[in-house]
Amino acid sequence: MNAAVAAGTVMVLAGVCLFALVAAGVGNRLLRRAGLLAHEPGEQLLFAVGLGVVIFELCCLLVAVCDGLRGGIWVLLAAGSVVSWLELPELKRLLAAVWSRGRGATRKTRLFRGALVAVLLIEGVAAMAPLSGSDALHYHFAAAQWVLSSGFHPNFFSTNSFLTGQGHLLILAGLALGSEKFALGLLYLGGVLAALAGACLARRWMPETGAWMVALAFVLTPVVFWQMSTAGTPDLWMAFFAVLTVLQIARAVETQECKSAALAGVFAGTVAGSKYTGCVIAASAGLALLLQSQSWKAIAVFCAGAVNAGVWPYYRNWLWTGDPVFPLLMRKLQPENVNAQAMATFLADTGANLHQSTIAFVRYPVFAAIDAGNLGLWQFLGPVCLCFAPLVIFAVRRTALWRTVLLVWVLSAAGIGMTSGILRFALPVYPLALAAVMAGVWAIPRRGWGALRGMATATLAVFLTVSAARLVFYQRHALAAAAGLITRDAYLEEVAPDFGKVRFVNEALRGREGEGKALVFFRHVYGLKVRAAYGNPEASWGVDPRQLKSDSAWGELFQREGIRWVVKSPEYPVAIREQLEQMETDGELVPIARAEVVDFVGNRMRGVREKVRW
Amino acid sequence: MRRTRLVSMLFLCGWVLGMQVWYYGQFAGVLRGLLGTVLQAK
Repeated sequence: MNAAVAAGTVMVLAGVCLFALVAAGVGNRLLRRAGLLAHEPGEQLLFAVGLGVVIFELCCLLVAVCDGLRGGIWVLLAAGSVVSWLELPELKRLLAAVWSRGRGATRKTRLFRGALVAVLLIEGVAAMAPLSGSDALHYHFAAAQWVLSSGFHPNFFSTNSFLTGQGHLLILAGLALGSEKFALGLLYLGGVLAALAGACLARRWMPETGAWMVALAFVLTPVVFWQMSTAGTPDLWMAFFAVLTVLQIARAVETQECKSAALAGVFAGTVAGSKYTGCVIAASAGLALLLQSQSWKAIAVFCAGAVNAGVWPYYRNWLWTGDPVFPLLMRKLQPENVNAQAMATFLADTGANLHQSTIAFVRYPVFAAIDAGNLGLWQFLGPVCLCFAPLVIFAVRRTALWRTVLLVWVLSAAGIGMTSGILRFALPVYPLALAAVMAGVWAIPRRGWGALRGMATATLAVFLTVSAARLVFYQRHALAAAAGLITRDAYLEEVAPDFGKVRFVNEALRGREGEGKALVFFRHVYGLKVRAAYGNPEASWGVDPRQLKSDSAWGELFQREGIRWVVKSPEYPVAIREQLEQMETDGELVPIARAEVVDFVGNRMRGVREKVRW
Repeated sequence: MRRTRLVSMLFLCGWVLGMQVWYYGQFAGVLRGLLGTVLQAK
């Protein structure tokens, strides 16, 4: 066992807790100043952390634009710590109140709470393993690495880099602090907070035992534990902010206070600013507020809060490309600048050109829209919502919270299904759905419905047991790596796609990284020490086969972008193969290094590897 | 009243069980695939 690696894991997790405390301090101070106090101390702490993180993300964006990331993040954290220190007595009071409420819990409640803590610890340790998620290696982390090495500029070699939003600023902050582990820890924190927010929502409708069970079912859902640990994506922060939005909208409707609507707007805007599909959630939340409050003033302050918090990624894309939702509107706005191959692949990957029947949308709110042609555990959100959806009828009441939850859950999930066709993108509203259906289970009448209660209990028991087994099986390599039982390289060789290629390029170009960029055709570019220009036209807007038909066109591209090396692995992409092979024949591309590496073929979960000569 | 409750309960029990079987059935292939990979590796 490598003690230094294990100690690093513990220290980073402690650092993540400290970050949450600092965010809570900043957020709570602002909430108190604004007179926005929640009824429950736990809820107040969650709102405080949420607001603190929103402010941190906006400040991160500012320092990134000002090109002062590495020093700026430390300054931000120091300033936040000072504010948090001033707020410490109030934080202590809130934490003590939460602690004292938990002490009187029943044995069953303590059991579920203990199970939740154990699962969160396992997931926290697993999250500290080196990054291996495919999309993260392609753009979630690679885009942040690009900003750190090249400044806050567009990267047209990665179409997906334009999809990065507010949540990605946490990855950027972690990497700017020099720690991939800390960046992963911040993503894990989003999952923990989403689970606690889900429990907080559920607590409004059921006893504490049920609330902890909601949180437990959430963190044991395979898609969730994958996102909290190895995936390296910030989507669970959206889930956290979606729950805060719903709670705050219900409060705005009940109190008719504009400041509550504004805060709801800030959280909804942060959801929208995290991902394009987040706009559907923010719009549903706005509609829920409008329908219930019937106040244009409330909706105006909601929109103002949302725009201020979440417009920035869209504004950035508009400045860089002329299309705020790049590349979705490019065919209409700038048809002459469309890279047809990149566009077609983008639409196919994101499901944006999907045509589905109306009835298909019914499957999204119950998380049962399984794509049988592309089956995998990344679609496994569990049968809980599907099985228990009709039971909601036992629990639903005519309250602002119920109306808001049902509207945001159903409209968002159906809307996301309609626009993307990808079930996983509905994950941000999963805690809402889970809390609602579990409230239904809890509300099954005690007398005369014993069989249904038994069936529901058995369903939950099967789901939790199967999912817990999956968690341990799936995370076994990550846990070993985070505890220092296997080396970083051995772990990445086992699980990270394209790791062999990245290692070879780093070795081949050692000491020459500053000479220029390398044009690479393998997808997982994170970890390359040389600046990578991703060259596969399927996901690289900057490499358009229609415009690169001659040696001179390629030469001009290499010149303009400062591309010094081309990494052939093992063949060039079909659309540009002919031209690049011609350049090899003409002696314009000269081999300087060759190697043979073993890597995954296709999807890594299928575990098929092949030897690649290049 | 009693009959309505019984029918409702039977419907809901059938729904919970049926949907569960359908859902896990969808993923049976994936689970078999994972098991196959593990056995092959050994």
